Amino acid sequence: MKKNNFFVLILLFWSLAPFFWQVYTSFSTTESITNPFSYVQNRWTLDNYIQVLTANPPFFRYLLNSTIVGLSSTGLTLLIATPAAYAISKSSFHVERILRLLLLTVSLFPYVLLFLSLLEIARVLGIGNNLLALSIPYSALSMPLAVLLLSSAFKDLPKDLEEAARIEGLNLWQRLRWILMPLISPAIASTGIIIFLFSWNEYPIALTWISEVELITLPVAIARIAGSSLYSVPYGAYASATVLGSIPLIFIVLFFQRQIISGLTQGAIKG
Amino acid sequence: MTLLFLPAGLLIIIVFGIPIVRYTWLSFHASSVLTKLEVLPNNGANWIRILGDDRFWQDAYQTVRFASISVTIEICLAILIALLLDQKINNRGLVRALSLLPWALPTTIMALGWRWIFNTPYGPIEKIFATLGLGPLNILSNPDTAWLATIIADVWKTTPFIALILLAGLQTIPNELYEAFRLEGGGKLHAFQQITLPMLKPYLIISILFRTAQAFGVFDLIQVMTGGGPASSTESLGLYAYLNALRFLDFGYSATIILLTFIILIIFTLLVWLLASKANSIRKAITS
Amino acid sequence: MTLELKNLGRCVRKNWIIRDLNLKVDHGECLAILGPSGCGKSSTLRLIAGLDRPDEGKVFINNVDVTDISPVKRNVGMVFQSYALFPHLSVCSNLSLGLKVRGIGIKEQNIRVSKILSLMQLEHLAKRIPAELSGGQRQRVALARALLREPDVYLLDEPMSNLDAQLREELRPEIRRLILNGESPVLYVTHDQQEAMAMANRVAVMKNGKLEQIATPQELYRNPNSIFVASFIGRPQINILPTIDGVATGIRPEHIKIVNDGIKCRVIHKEWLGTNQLLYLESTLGTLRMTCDAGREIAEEININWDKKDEHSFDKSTGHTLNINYLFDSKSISR
Repeated sequence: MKKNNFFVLILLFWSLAPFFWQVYTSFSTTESITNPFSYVQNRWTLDNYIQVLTANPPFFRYLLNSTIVGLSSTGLTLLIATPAAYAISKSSFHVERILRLLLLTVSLFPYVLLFLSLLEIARVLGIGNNLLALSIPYSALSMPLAVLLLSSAFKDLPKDLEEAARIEGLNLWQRLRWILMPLISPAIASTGIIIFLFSWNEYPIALTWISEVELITLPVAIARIAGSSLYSVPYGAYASATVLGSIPLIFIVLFFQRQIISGLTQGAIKG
Repeated sequence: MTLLFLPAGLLIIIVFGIPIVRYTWLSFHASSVLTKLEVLPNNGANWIRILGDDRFWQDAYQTVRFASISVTIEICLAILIALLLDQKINNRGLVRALSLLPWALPTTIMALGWRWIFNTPYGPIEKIFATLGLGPLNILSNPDTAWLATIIADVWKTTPFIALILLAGLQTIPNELYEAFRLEGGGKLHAFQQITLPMLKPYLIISILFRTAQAFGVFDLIQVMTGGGPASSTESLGLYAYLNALRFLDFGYSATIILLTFIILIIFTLLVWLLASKANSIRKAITS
Repeated sequence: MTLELKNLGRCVRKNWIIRDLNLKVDHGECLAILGPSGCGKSSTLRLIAGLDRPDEGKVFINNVDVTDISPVKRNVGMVFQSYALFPHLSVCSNLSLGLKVRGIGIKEQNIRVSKILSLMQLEHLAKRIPAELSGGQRQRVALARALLREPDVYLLDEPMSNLDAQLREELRPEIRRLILNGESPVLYVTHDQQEAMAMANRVAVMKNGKLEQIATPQELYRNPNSIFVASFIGRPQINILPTIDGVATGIRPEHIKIVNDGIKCRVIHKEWLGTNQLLYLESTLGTLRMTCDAGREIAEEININWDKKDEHSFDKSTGHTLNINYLFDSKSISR
């Protein structure tokens, strides 16, 4: 037991230290940044945060943009994936296996490679610089995993529940709405959160589709701050940007950790 | 019934399929600043160019190196972490959630963080080494060491994800198997080899394949952490394709890069898969 | 309301799990479908409900061909073996869902639901969810759900098989009372012949997807038309004597009597049945079962005999009855 606790501490240190270093830096004055371990007269400050929050556009704007994209992607994906997952769960053994295999293969694909063509599509259709439009590629990228997870969940439901519902006179949409979807709501929640996290995290497509400063998402904003000068280093501001950008995600992970873990676990087991 | 599947299927086919087709076509055309961004066929000139492009092949080497070393370290660490999390420890849920944090934070955010950590001369790594009396390491400015830093950052971010999947696998192994083994006089290490690893096999294979494919496409991390430098020593194929498209505005060539990367990826993934299946039979032969 | 099945057949993976099924159930009648596991009884029910499509034949409800109509539109009420109550809904909601999607207003829903709840004595459980109910309570909710919609046909798929024996006996008369007061025919599937005999007006005995015999319980007992039916109906099981000239004779244990002078036997086993005993006898005709008053002991030597008219004769090769009674009796329906 003692040995385990020791390892747990190492694990936690390893997982959290890099982030905490950012937190530490974000509250440090320029002077103390250059001397992180020594004693400095003027150690702590909120200036970094003020700088980031009052910049133009304000930092909250980026969080908002990411949230908009996150929510719309999640909604769109679930809307399209649920019927698809239902259809798969009702397919014959062979059809189902083939489809699952295809979806699995597609989900292995590193989506970064798609950026060029997606960029062209955005230009041609004129949907660049549009936060809601971004949810279309994001949906497509999350779709394979979402369909796999949800179809497993549908499959796990006892067969006679839906049959009883049919006999009670419920048509397909009524069955989905009143019986099937409520019963797989844990899986829907897990899937939704994973999709949300993915959208929040996505970089190359957000980078190429959106160029207007008012509309960029969080990862792009951070990268801009980072790329703005490789040599001069207002790292204090960078650190506070990092911390601010991470807060929403930390909350999500801590609050929804059970759903996230069960979603990934189910995906792994059934995959 | 098929109607239900249609929107999802169509979306996937469009978003994944059209690019492949488009890239193939585009790679046989010139579309760049020189052609004033019009698209003109160029009889495979892009392909001839890419085969002789040193930067491409250097990047290919760097990408494969990155992917293989990263994934190997990640798998090994993940097994250890999964084993640890499978034990009874206090606040297991909280520990699991906290160890998930690296994965949940966007890559770009922590890429910046890592750049700062490795920063010379102010970053903590340098400071620690300085107090030990060792000279400035200059990790990120040194072409020979910068890529190691990127691997560390990547391992940090994705290991929790794999650990979680392996943990799920561990939890499907019934305790009775271990108990029976112990009764037969098997030791812990032996149990690990004979029971744990074989039962984890499908999870390991999935994780390896998944992570390898993803690592091959590494972009976010590199672009933000090192920009591909110093001297393109950390540049990945994904980044090279991006540069060609958005900085050099050579779309035809960028498409060629992506396509060739894709082909290399498929070959590499197949190799890894074969290796993983082979490794199992080799191990079986050794331990039996 | 009537139900009629014409030449119904269903084939699953090259196996005909139901073949040439013809039967008719009249209004107010309860027909039990009886048979061993896998004989096709549940499958028949599913075909009537519309959950599966027949490969041959047709289903008529009230003389309307419903074969191509989806279960959503057929007006049947079904009680599943597992009850299939919606686990996330309260008892009330489980009952009212069917009404709601039919467009029946909330007021009317409430009226009908309260009526059925009091009929089934479930008022105090209205807000509970299925997980909080006992097996018997769940069964009553499942029944209530079927009753509520006043369907054209009731289909009960082994509704008591998940309950213990005592509960089953208690509930039998109650269920009879509830279901059989209406106009709609009831199909009651079970593998328990006692239950079938107790609940139904007529019993259809099935084997390997085909109808062996369909008649009143008494008729099945008195005039089984095959060895299978004779063996299936009646506990303890009928004795089939060794074949002579291709004829197998059957004699029920309860018809064997102890006499002073008859076939010599020795008691090799006895079981206590309450008021009487079941004896296993060793004789020149093989092992025989007989019931008699208590008092016999193992290893006792006794003489037995029986009334010739209690015998059943069967053609050993086909299994069919050779009984003249059967051939002339119009109460049984031939295959």
